Amino acid sequence: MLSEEAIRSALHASRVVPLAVANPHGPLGLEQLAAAVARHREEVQTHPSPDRVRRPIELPVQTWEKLHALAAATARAGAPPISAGELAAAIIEQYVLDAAS
Amino acid sequence: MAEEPSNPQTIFRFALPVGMSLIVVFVPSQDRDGQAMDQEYWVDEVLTTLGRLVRGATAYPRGRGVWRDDARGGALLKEEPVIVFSYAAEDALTAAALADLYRTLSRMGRQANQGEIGVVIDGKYYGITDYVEE
Repeated sequence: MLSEEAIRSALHASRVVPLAVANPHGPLGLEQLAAAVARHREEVQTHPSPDRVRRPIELPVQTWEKLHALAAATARAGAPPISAGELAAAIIEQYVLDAAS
Repeated sequence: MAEEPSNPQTIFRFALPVGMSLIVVFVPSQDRDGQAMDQEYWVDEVLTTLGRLVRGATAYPRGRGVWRDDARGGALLKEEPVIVFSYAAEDALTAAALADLYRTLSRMGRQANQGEIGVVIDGKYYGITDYVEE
């Protein structure tokens, strides 16, 4: 069975959220699952950090893969798991802060 | 005479087969600008991909939903996603198979102008926002 990190990496997922729906079976189970996903999306969208923005940026595939590897290495070191996107944001933020000082 | 409490799972003897994973993909009905997208085409693409990778998948008719896109001024987008689900055997759910699924989903994200593509695997939601062209 693949680990959460392996699935996240293969899907290039920017976030992973455990859902409180165990083994959804049949139409009603899937409705319950869909409702849980919708609730989560709504919670995330309605509680944004007020001083941050999200913008798509374009990177070479190789750079993105290296970011994934770096993010995974960070997770292995015992720190809280971060995504490649979060790592990219941290690197850019730090670079801009250093450049401005 | 008081009836004993019934448990449908016991009566019908259903359970998730051992060693199987449930994959659920949400195929949206609109792009992030609120424009209708070719949902049927993408449902067919996801079904075909999952059928090829894990031997089968089912599309479940539309539910209804709404989400707020803060990157677009907090516009409310009303959604009628189609739920595509599949039970995958452990040996079929490989990193290579998921990378293949990602190629289809990232293409959908790019071409259908999506803010995020959602996949649930075994009770965890994986949000995809990086649509790398592979």
